[in-house]
Amino acid sequence: MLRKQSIPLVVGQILCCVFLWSASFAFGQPSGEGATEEATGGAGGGASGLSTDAAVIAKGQEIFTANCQACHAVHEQVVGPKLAKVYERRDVAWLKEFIRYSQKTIESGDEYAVALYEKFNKTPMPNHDFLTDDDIIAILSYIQDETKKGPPAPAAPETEETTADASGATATPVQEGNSTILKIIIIGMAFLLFLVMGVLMLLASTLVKVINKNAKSEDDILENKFTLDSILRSPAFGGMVTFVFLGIIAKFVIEGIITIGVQQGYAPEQPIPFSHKLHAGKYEIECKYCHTGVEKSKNANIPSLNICMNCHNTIRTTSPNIQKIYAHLENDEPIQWVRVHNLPDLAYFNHAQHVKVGGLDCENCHGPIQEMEIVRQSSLLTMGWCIDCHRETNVNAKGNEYYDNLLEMHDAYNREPLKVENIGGLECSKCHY
Amino acid sequence: MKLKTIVLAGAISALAVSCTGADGDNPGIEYAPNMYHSVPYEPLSQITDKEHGDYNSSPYNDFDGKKLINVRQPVEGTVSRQYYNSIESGTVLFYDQFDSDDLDSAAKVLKNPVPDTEAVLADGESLYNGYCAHCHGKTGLGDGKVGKVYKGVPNYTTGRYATMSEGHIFHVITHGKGRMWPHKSLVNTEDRWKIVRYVQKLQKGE
Repeated sequence: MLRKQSIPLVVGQILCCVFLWSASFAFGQPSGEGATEEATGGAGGGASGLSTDAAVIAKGQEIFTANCQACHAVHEQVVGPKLAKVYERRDVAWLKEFIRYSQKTIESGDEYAVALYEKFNKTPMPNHDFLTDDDIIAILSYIQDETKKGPPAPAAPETEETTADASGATATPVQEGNSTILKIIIIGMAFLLFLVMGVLMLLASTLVKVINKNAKSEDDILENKFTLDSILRSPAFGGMVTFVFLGIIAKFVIEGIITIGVQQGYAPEQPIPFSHKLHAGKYEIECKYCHTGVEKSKNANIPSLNICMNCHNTIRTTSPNIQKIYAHLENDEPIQWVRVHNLPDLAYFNHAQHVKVGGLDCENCHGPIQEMEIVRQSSLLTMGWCIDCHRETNVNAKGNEYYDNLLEMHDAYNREPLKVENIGGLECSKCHY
Repeated sequence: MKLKTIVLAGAISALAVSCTGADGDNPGIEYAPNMYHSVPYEPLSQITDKEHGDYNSSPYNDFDGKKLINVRQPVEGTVSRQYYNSIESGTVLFYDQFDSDDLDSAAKVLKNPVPDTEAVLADGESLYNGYCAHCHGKTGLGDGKVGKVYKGVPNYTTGRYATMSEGHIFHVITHGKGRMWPHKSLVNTEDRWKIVRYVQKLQKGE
């Protein structure tokens, strides 16, 4: 939870980030264009003393990723200033001195260095006295090379959203799979019913014929014609229609009764359309990063806003949905997420027990959450569903001394491995008390 | 007579079709809701149905106001259990000795109270993969999928970063540094020291 005192600070930082981002956007654009123009002109010159040799650039890249990347990027302001064309802004001798002992340059009263220090909230750059002249030339050559290449094309967010929509569309048929199977079964049953009816009618008519044969002449039988009207009005047909109708109704009613109290398929719209497909799927953020309680507590926990802010202090700060997070932060109000999985109060469930001790994956109960654009309850969460799993699952006793004696005793009398059922997984009072 | 039959049939089918399960925004029909919803305050419980409102009298679940979800900050003056600064052996875990901006002293003074054992490393790895790897990469190269978008993620294995002290690592996890924000609310003190053990392994490129 974010403490109250830190909220103005957080907001300040957000505003600062937004401002710096927009500033870098405003100033970055024309300078980027300029770079390509000047690069073509300055390629032959090499007045700055930097190399265009591929080997030097590769070496520079290596040193850059190891030592600079944490705070600097070529085309973007990260912690420190963006480095595109830094070799034009300052001469190489100045850069060498600053990279090695930045505080020394600042203390010497160098105007440019002091201005830079002030602009970046007096964040000192650590000393890099282990870098040789060649190393620094290599780094600068790498920066020059990257400047000429220009910024990488930004990934279009539209494509993300379209793929997300498409997957949302494909997700529904999976859910409906059950009901289509049911429909097929019902149609099959109806067909069988008609067949049986037909056979019965045939039998009935032959019987009538046999009975009538003794009483009436053949002429009477010939006169007794079958018309569509007579079939429709016949009690046999009426009975058949009623039977089929009642059968279908019974199917709906039974299905309806079964779903009472079962929320499988519930996928409510959330106040902020948070996508697990993007966060857990595409970016592979582990569940427990946000659901911090999952290994420690009964509740997996819905993340507090400071966890969102760990990334969204810089990522997609202008998106209207991210702006909603900032608004909640400013007002010190929780986001009104709609709870999807509602286990009844009469049943006890503990996340830590299942995830940490049992070693179960989240997907075990929550389904393919990393593919869900909107979270949907994919399991039944009924008692039968719990019990089924408790009957089938082996106890995760690996490296857990608690089970040593129990396992020994169990193995002495049983061939089957120790199941959850055997350690009281079906006892009423384990979950209901 | 015929009309009656048709009306009856229609009514029955309408009734049957209305008995559908949960889907989208519809949570379906709930049986005996007063057995389903907790009377005491449960974390993150929600009351949105005014008709069944009176079995949760939490003042924070104000039906007409906005506060429907039961998310609260700790009561003022209370201390979360994770902030008791000792583990079983009684060793001090150092969580509050240094101010957030006093990284240099923390880096010099803080020593890891968690033993360097296989079990601690395994815990550290699991914690690292959960709380750090999406930015810092599974092997600490700073190549996590989020890190690439977020930018400013160091590579542990080379340069200055390979020799960062354990106190430095602990302090940075606790209070953040540069672009990284504080993670003390996500990972408790003992777990942070376990992560430090694992990060030190990554620093060696093992």
